[in-house]
Amino acid sequence: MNPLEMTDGDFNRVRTRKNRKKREFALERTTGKNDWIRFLPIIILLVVWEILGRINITSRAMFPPFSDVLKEFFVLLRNRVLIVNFEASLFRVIAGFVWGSLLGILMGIVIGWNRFIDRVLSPIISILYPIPALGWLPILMLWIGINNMLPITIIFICSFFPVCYNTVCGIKNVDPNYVRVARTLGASKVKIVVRVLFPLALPNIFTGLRLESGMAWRVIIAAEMVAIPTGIGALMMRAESLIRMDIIIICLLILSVMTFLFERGFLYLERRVVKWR
Amino acid sequence: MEVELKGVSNFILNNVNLKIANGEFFALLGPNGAGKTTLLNVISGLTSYEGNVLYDGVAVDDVPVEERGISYLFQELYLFPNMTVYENIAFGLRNKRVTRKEKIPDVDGRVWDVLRLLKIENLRNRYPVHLSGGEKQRVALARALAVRPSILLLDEPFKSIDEATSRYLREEVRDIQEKLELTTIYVVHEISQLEGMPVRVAVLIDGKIRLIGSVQDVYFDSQDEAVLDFVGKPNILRVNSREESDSGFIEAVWGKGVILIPKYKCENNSKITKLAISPWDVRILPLHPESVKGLRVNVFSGRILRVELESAVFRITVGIGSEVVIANLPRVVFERMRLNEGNEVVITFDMEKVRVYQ
Repeated sequence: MNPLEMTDGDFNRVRTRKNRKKREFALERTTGKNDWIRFLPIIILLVVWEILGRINITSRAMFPPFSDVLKEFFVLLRNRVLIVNFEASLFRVIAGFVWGSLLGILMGIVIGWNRFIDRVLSPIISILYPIPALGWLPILMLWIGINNMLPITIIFICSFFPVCYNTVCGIKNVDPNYVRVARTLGASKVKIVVRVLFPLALPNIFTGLRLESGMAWRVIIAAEMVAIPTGIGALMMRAESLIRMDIIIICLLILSVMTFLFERGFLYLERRVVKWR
Repeated sequence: MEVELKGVSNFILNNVNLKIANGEFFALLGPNGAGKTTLLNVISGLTSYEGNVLYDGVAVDDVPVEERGISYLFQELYLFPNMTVYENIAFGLRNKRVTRKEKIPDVDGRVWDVLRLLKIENLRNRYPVHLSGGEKQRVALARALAVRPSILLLDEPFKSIDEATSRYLREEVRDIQEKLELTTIYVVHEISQLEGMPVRVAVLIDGKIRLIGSVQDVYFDSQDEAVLDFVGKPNILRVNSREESDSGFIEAVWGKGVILIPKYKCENNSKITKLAISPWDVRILPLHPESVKGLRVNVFSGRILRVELESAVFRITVGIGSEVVIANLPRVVFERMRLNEGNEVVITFDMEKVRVYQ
C-alpha cells in the first residue's frame, strides 16, 4: 500500500499490527514458557534465607528466617508502627521531591534558555551540585533545627540540583534550528519555551526525575537514621538499638520496594507523556 | 512581495546586490559553503549583516524575523517532533495575529485548506516520527504555506529524498507557487535540480554573486571561471534539428548521429540549438567502430586526438568527424582501458545528463 494514500484507519491498522507483533514478542519474552525463571532466583534466595535462619548458624535474633520477618511485618502493620513511620517518610519524600523537582525544572529552563542567567548561575550550581545531600545535614540542623522541615529540605536539595542540571542539559541539547523555525513561524519567546524547548527537553528531564526519585528514598532513610526521630530510617535505628534484625530487614525491604516503585512510576509517566518518540 | 538586497556583506557574503520580483520563483545556486543558506538567513533576519534588505522598497533591517512575514523551509525540515502533523501546521497560525490583539480566526479551516492543497489530510494525526521522507517534506511545506507568507524561502528541502520524489515535489512547489503568486527563493547546490524550470538563477560562489540569468545562461554563456569550474566546463554540441520520436524522446541531430533527450528537459516546442554535456558524463567504450556500425542513436565513433593528465584525471580529446568532444576518465579506469592517442573508440552520452539550450 502506498503510504501517501494510507488513511488514518489504514495507518492505525498497520501500527496496531506492528504493535501486536511487538506485544506478542514481549509477552513471549516476559510471560512465556520461561517466565517462572525470572522469579526463580528470588524464590531460591528466600528458601536459602529460610533454611539458614532455621539451622541457627548464628542466633535467630541476628539472622531471622524469612517467615519470622514476614510475621513481624504483619505485627507492625497491625499495631500501626510501620504505617505511622512509613507515612512520615513518604510525606517528606513527596514534599521535598515535588518542590525540589519543580524548582529544579523551572530554574533549569531559565538557565538553559537565557545565556546571561546561565553565565551567572551555572558556576554557583557547579560548585553546589557535587556536595552530597547528606553533607548539608549539619548546617541545616543548626539553621532549621530538628523538625519535619529538615528532612524535607534535605530531599529538596537532593532533587533540585540533579533535576536542574538535567533540565539545563535537555534545553541546551535541543537543536537551535527548532527555535529558528518557531521564530520564523511567529512564536513568542514564552511560546518557544512552552511549546518547543520544554517538550523536547522532557526525555532528559524525566531521566533526572526517575533517578532522583529513587535517590530521594535512599537519602531520607539516611537522614532519618542520623537526625530525625520518626520515619522508616528512625525505626531502623530504634530496631538496631533493640537488636531487632527482623524490623531492620523489613525497613530495608520497604526502601527497596519504594525506590523501585518510584523509578518505575516515572518510567511509566515518561512513556505516557513523551508519546511522540 | 519584491525583495531587494543592497550591498549586503557579513562573515560569508561579499557585497551582494540582488532584486527578486514580486511573485517570482528565484533560484540560488552554488557549491557547499558558498553562502546560500547565509543569504536566506539574511533575507529572513536570522543573521546579522551590513547593507540593506528591502521588502517592496522598504528597509526591514530592524524588523525581527517573527514580523517579516516569511516562511522558511530548512534543509532538515525541523518538524516539531512533539506535535502531530495538524499541530505542526496550526503552530504558525496560532502565533500570527491579524491586529495586535486579534488572532487569526478559523485556524482549523486554514489548516484543512493546506492539508487538502498538499493532499495530506490522511496524515494529520500522525507524529513526524511516523512519516516517510516525502511525507515530511509535504508537511513542512504545508506548515510554511499555512501562514500565507509574503516570501517563501526554501533551503534545499528536497535534498535528502530520492530523485523521482524530489522532482515531483519540485514541480508541485512550482505549481503551488504559481497558483499563490508567492515570491519564492529556492536554494540548490546542483544545477540538475533546476532542469526544465524557466526560472532566474543567481550563482553564488565564495559569498559573491557571479552570475544572474537563466539556467541556460549558466551552462552555455558563462565566461566566469569560477562558474565554469562549478558547473564543470561542458562540451557544447551544436545540433541541427529536432524531432519528436514515438517513444516520447526528442531527437537532436549532431554530426552523423542522433542524441536522444528525455522530453522533460525541453521547456517548450522551440528549436534546440545547443546541447551541453560535462566531460564526466561522456562515456568512452574501448570498442572498434565496426562493432557499432549501423547504430545511430547516442553512439558515435571517433579517434583519440590528445590525452592529457591533470592530477589524477585523464582528459581525453576525441575527434568525431569535424566535431571534438572531451571526456574525463579517472586514472585507474584509463589505465585499465589502455587507451592511446590515435586509437579508434566509441563514445556515448548519459541521456539524463545532457543539458538543452533552446
